[in-house]
Amino acid sequence: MTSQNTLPWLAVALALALLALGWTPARADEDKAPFAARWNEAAEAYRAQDYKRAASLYEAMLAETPEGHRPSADLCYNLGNAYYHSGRTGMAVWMYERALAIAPRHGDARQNLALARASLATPPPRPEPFFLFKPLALLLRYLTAGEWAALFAALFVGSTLAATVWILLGARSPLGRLARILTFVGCGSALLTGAFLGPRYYETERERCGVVVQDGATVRAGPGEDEEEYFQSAEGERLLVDEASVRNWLKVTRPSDGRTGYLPEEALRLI
Amino acid sequence: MEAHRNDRYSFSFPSIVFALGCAVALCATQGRSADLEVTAKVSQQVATIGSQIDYTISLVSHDAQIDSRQIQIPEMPTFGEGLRLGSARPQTSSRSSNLNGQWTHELDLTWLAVATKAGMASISNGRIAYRGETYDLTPLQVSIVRNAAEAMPPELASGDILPAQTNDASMDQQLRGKIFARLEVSKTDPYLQEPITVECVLYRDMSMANQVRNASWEPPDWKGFFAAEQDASRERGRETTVGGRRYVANTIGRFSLTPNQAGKLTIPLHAAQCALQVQRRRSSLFDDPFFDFGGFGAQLQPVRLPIAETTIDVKPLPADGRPASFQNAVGSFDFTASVDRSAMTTDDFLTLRIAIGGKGFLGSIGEPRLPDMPDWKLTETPSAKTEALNDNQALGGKKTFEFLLKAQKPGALTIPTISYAFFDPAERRYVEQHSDPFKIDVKKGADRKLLVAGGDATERTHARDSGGEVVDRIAYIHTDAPPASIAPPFYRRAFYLPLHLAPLALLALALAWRAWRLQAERHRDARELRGAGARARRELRGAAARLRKGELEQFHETLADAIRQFLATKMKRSAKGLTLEEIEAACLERGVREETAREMRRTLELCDQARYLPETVGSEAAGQTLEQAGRLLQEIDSAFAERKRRSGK
Repeated sequence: MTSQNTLPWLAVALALALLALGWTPARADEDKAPFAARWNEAAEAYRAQDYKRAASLYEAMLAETPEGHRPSADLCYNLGNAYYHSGRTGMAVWMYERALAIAPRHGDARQNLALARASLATPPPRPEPFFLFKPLALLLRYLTAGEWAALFAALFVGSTLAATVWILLGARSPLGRLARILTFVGCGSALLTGAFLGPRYYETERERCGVVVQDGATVRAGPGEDEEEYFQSAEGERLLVDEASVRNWLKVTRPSDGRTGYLPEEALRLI
Repeated sequence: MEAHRNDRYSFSFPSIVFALGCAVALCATQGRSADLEVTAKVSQQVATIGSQIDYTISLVSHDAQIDSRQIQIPEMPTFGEGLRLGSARPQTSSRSSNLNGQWTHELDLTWLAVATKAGMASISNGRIAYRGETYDLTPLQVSIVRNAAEAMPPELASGDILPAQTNDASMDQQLRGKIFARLEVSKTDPYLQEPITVECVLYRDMSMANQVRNASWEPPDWKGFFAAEQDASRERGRETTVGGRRYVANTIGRFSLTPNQAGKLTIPLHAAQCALQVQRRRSSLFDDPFFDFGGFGAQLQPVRLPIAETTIDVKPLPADGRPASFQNAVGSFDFTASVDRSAMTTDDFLTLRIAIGGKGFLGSIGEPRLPDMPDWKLTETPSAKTEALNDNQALGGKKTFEFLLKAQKPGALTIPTISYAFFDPAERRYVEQHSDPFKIDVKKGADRKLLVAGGDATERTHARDSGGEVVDRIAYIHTDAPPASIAPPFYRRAFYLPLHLAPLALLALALAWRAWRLQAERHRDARELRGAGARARRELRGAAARLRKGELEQFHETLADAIRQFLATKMKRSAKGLTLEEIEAACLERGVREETAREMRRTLELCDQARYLPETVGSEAAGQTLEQAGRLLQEIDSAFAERKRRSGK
């Protein structure tokens, strides 16, 4: 094998080594034992129909989520169940929404969310996408933004490495031809994935959403009790929240009709 | 002689009118009497024989300054037996002040009198005139006593007020009746749980109003009461009369007390403290009073002000007429009830909120008793929230109770009237209030009662497998403990960006390497092209050597190889497999003359023939072939170079 032929393989080996260096194994949870004990305690309280106590135990575990991390979807789901059985349907909807934001494919949370919404005296309005975009919207929300980002990274890195092999070996060799095909396929897929990643990232990181937890909360034209009433929000309704709050009033927008107003902070919970 | 009109003394008509107008205005101003308040007062209403009493007539105006020259006294008050007027002419003092844009002008006329005989001395009414207006003076009385002991307020004598105490017995005597403290209770016979207010008031004689400092009060143990302190720091001093003597009174502490037991409750003996600024005599020449507190000989004398015991008679609440809904609430309250929804399902919970608010002791407000409601079930202990005015439950506020109810069946259900009673101490009777009934529309829910409470995903799975109706029921909790938290999203990891940049860097390196390789190949080709001619000449020399040796076969082979290699290099292709037709075509393509190309072909054919049939070619012919080959190669090389030069390659 000539030195010209060994160089591409060295480059591929170097790329794989770099990838291996970037690998970060999942960090073991050091406090698993106490958390598991409290989890079981909460489950026992739930089984004994002491939903209030179960909810408070789950809330305590939720409050201990470290900064920058996310709570487990099952924790949010279980807390939603405890809220639901305690009669706090709005809070239950909030927790189910939160569980789905963390794990979009959580079937139980999706089912319970539908049930909770249906059980409200005034089911909240749900904006539906245009029917042609519905499959795309479903696909978009099937994965979290992190999963789309991981997929994009895999395709991008793969196609870049394939391009590297293609350049090094040329299209004359069978491996080079294969690398060329993989480059085009990978690039195309990465572009498509990026098209989903962008909106999903925006949805997750930039767009603030909240769930109304009080029945009949009034959205007003301005931040104050004496401001004009604009519209009534339904318990369990999902609203978009503006960045800044004014004197404990949140600026919200109803996605179904785009109406914007102010809601007291205590009437809404951010997802 | 010409008569001169002296303009200085001639007045025009407009100036006359102006002057008259000013005069009228001036007279109107002067003639208008000021809005005046006239009062008469004495400096002390209790005096000892030989002490000086000031009799002062005060005039107060908010309009114009008071002109003392306009004052007349058509009827001077007469001083009765026991008082002797010391001066016929009064002392005059005046002052003006402006508060919020309003002027106040005051003028005092003070006569000095001396108390000469014990008893009640009277000063008769009189009259004073100011700018034509006459004002009547009120008659006054002064109590003249033989000594200071008799000058004390009667309360002090009876023991209701205790004398001040210092560490100087002579000062104690001087202070008797001049400074004391006492408790003032808003009501001494309240009902049980009826709040009262208790104030500690410090009294000081008018003559020492500015000498008292650092007044404080340590409240006693409020046994039998629920006590809440109120803020009295902003209280201002007020003039008041105790036992016929004028004092300046200040509230130095205030408490709200709510008796929590009936009967006679005693607030025990305790004390307030203050400090008195007194002038100190210099004990020696070296004792410089300048450095004393307050400077110039003043010092603070601590004074203890005992406060007498006070008895509060707490009446029990009447038993007669007590409603069944009475929950020990005492005060004047309003009762309201509300629900958070009018439509619900059997799965939902209804919040019944009962608020009781008003004036009274909030601690006395007990949880309302709900009527019998067979269609409703109370799901848990009600919560209570208290909002007290100024954080003081005795001042009143609002107490709210929340009940969580669950409908036991669908339909048009009713929450019946709820009653609440309290005792109003002001009206001395029980008051009962009632709420309106609430109509709630209840629909059938998802009937969660059928579910096994709790459970885990395994049970749910089994239920699903068994084909039960799981889909329309809320799913169970998950019992397998998950991780305590999930790592941040993938794009927030530190390696995310390097992960994308590393292969890009690799790709850039690969491109750079490929570019370098292509460049190297081009240089190699150029080098080979440049060396083709020299190589061909070298090989022709080799062929000539072979010819000289008589190796005709090897000569022709070497010659043919040299020509082929030269042409192949120029054509940038391998000599292997290069045919004569390709050589000829390539030469013609590159601008070689047709004749030269044909000759080159014939030479190569001759070489091939000579290789296989060496006897057909002699040495001489071989020499000519060599020479011809050299010439042809040179021509072809030139033609190629010319062609390359023209094409710029």
